[in-house]
Amino acid sequence: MELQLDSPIAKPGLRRRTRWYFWGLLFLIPEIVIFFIFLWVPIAKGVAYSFYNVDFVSGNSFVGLQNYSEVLSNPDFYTAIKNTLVYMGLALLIGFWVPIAMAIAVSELKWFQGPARIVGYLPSIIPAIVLYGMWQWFYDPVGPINTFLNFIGLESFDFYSKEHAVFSLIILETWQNFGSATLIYIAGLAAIPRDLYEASELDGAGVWARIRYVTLPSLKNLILLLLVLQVIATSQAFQSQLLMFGGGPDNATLTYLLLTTREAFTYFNFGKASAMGVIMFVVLVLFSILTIKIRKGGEEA
Amino acid sequence: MKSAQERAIMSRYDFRKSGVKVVYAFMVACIVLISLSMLYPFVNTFLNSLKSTQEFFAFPAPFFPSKFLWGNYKESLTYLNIGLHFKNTILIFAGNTFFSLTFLGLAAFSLSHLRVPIKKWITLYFLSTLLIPAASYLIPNFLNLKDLGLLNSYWAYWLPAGANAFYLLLLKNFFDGIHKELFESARIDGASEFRCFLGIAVPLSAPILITLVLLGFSTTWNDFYWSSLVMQEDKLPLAGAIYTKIIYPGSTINWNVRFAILSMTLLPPLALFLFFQKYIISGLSLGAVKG
Amino acid sequence: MKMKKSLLISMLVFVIVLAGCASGNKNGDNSPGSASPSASSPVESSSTPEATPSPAIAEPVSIIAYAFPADKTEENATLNAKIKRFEDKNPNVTITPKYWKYENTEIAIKMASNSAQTEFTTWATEANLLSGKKWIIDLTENLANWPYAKDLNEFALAPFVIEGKTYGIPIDAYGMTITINKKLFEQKGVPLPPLDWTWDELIEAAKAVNDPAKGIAGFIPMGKGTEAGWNWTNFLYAAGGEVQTVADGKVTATFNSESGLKALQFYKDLKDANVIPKNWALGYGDALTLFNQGRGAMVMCGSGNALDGAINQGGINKDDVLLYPIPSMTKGGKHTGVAGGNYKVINGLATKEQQKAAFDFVVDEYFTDAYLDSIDAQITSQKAKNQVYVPQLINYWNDSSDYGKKYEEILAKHDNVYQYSPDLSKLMESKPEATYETQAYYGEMANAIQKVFTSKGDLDLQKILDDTAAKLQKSSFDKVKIE
Repeated sequence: MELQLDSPIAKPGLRRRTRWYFWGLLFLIPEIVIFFIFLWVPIAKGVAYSFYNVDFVSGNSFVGLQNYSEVLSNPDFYTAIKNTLVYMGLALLIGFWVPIAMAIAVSELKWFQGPARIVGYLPSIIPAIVLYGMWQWFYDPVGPINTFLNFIGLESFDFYSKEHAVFSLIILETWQNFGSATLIYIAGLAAIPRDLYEASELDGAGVWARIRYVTLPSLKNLILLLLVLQVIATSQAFQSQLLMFGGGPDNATLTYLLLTTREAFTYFNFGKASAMGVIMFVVLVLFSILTIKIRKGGEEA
Repeated sequence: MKSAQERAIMSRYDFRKSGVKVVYAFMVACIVLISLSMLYPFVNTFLNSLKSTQEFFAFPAPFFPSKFLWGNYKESLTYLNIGLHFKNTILIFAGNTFFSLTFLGLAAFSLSHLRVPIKKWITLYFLSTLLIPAASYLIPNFLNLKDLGLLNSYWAYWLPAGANAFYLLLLKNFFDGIHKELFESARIDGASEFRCFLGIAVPLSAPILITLVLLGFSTTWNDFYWSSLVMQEDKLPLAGAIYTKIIYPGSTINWNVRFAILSMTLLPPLALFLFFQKYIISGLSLGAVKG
Repeated sequence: MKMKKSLLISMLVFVIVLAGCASGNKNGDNSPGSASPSASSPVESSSTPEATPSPAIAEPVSIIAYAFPADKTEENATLNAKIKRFEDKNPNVTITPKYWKYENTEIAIKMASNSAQTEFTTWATEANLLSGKKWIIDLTENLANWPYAKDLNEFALAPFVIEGKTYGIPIDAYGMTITINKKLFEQKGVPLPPLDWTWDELIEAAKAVNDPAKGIAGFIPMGKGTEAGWNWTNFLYAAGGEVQTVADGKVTATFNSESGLKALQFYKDLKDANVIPKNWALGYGDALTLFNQGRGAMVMCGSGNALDGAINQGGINKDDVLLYPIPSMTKGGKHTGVAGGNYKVINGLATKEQQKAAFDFVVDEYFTDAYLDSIDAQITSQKAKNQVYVPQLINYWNDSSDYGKKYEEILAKHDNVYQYSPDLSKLMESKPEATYETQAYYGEMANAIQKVFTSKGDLDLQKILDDTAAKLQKSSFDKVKIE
């Protein structure tokens, strides 16, 4: 969110200035309207729900902060936050570098580069029913992974135990999701001028040095952007937790959003689910402000 | 395009070093392994669709069917008018792509290169929507579409498709990378801002635009839950139709037949991806100019 | 300066949220408000029966009926014929069939937008939830005016009778059973356990057919999602336990009783004997798939459901599967399992006239030959598909009634009807689910079960149960208001 606040070198005349504002606003207005109607109105209604006991038949009744106090007094709420943080951390550690490496590797391929670009993205079109069935089989005690481990003389790995469940999910999620980030990085790599490599090679930089001093710096903004997006996405993860483990064993994979959807669609407590959404929103906003401040502080130093 | 193939990070000279060769071979091996794991579910789904019911559930499961039962495909077509629902999906996808990329593109371009008052607040207005999980306002969202009278209409997809802060952010990021001088000189030549957008920003950002088209396609292609709620019967896109008519909980359609339908639905996106992938780097030759 | 900026940012977000809030409040009040006059409110029960007009002066009413998925052509044809007959008799009523299959992940949106059918089919598990939310109406009065109400099978009706009011009309019902893959027993040369079996005999049988190296488990309990708690409750019931007691308008958790401890100990024994799949994360569908694959010898499910799936979709021969009651805790004890079934309910958001028309439509052909004919046609059509018709163990009528006999005659006509062992229904006893906060109980119990399935070594089972009960008591049971 770096914004250009620099004023133009030559102060433009009033007329020119209105013309600039005119175009800028004109281009923005459709999106401002669309975001308002299709995101902010429902979000606002959702926020309103969080102060109500939602009842579609007899009408909603205002309950003040009761939904919030119930959410905060539920011990699962804190378990879910802890699990979500652990999941986010591990997902970054294990999954974040994969698409960068894959994108660079694919861009270097001499043959089949085209198909290789999209191969990582294929899981996104596999129906969930096939996908989770496949991973259940991969993780099975007699499935291919354990058979292989036994074959090379290792112990079987229990992918379903309380300690390993999160790890199993991250492998699955990384496999399934790194493709979209890879595509974006490939698009980013394509924008790096080739002369830069040529020049640094002439300067005697090796392959690693070129990646380190040319490729990665050129991708810096994109990497940061995708980092932020991954943090947001993983903070809202719940689908594979639900489908693979149902949040178990013993709430080990109960994420924040899984608890939210459970409140909404298993117990039908829409007020509480909305309250959880609002709490998350407030916390993430505070967190982003903090990050921006820290980054700005760091850059000034 | 041709020059792009000639070199990337590595040049021909690098391959003379044995260390590089080893790492390169390892890298290729990794890509091959990953590719195999990605292709496995496709092949498996296809082969399962040709098995008999007994074989489908046999354990340990045979990889290949003992006999290829193409009749499963014939039977599967009696349950679903694939053509109709496929057409619906394409309609939704086309409209989504048009609306989201046009309006988001204009907005991102404006935030990136045009003078806008209170730019910071407007950016925040868009981006803060990322921070509230969609699941927590799912019901208000649905009621909102209902109040607007958009249920069972393609507009229920096309218009909200533009409300995507994720795409906006990506587009803005790529537009930010285009040098301001390009637009300045165009403006001096008398080009309008709209021409700057269409004639300079869009072609230079072709890779990300194509990437977003692909991302948008798989989102539309997979969306069964929302579409099965918003659309009815003949207007359902393929994913929604398959969910409500074929693999709904309690379905009594045989599994091999269900997989026959699923196999067929894997082909169009595969073809589309293969077709579009080469354009992901098509902005390259133009992009090189600005360096 | 920086400080100010970020403060401003957060202020703005707050203002936007507040502004949205203000408009949201208005809407939030309006939309349900406009629906409530037409909906069933507490006033409804006091409305006078005389108010129901005779058909002669009836206003036109249009209702939406619950259609079947497109692949069930036979069922849809039957429904259309039924609609036509009803419309001929009641010219003021227009009925449109619409397909939406009841799904607990979708019902909320359907109710919020008032787009569910006027009458729909649901299952026994949903009774408390739907009636508690007033999404379905109290049918006590309608039933009082329906001559056949007394002929309904009391047992089938039970799950939908809540605090003396009836909320649903049974289609069919079942008690939970254990489905056995006979072939796995034969392959290992293990004799089948007696039908009047006990918990110990189940474990012994499971140990004998168990083969972890080949990925075959002796017994497949569901362990993921609310179905885990649902499965376990069978053993709670068989041990004579109760989920909750209701006294003085207060709900108290009682599943941490001695019976509960025995039932959980049984699960621990299963785990220690290593006869359950290592993958504990099995939902309903996962468990049945494993069973169909022959990767488990026994699975727990609503009477014929696992069997039906195994024969008609799972490719298992109908002679290779058997049904057993839930085993008794000790020899000679009761084989009590959880009751379930399919029910017709009436949408709480429809107008009173629509609700009445929908009720009349639903029961229109109950206890008539037309209903039996439709079953006959369904069996015939399954025969054409090479499938076996698996009847439900319990129907809305009493088996001993004349109507029940006619039904038996129809089943006897066909050779593709699954035959239950006659001793089975004698042994089986079924008990409805808990009345209050059942899903929350199942969900919490699922955690306790997962603790047992995934922990190594000794566990303080009583403490697990007590903790679960205390948590549930505080978060759910204490909040129940009984009228």
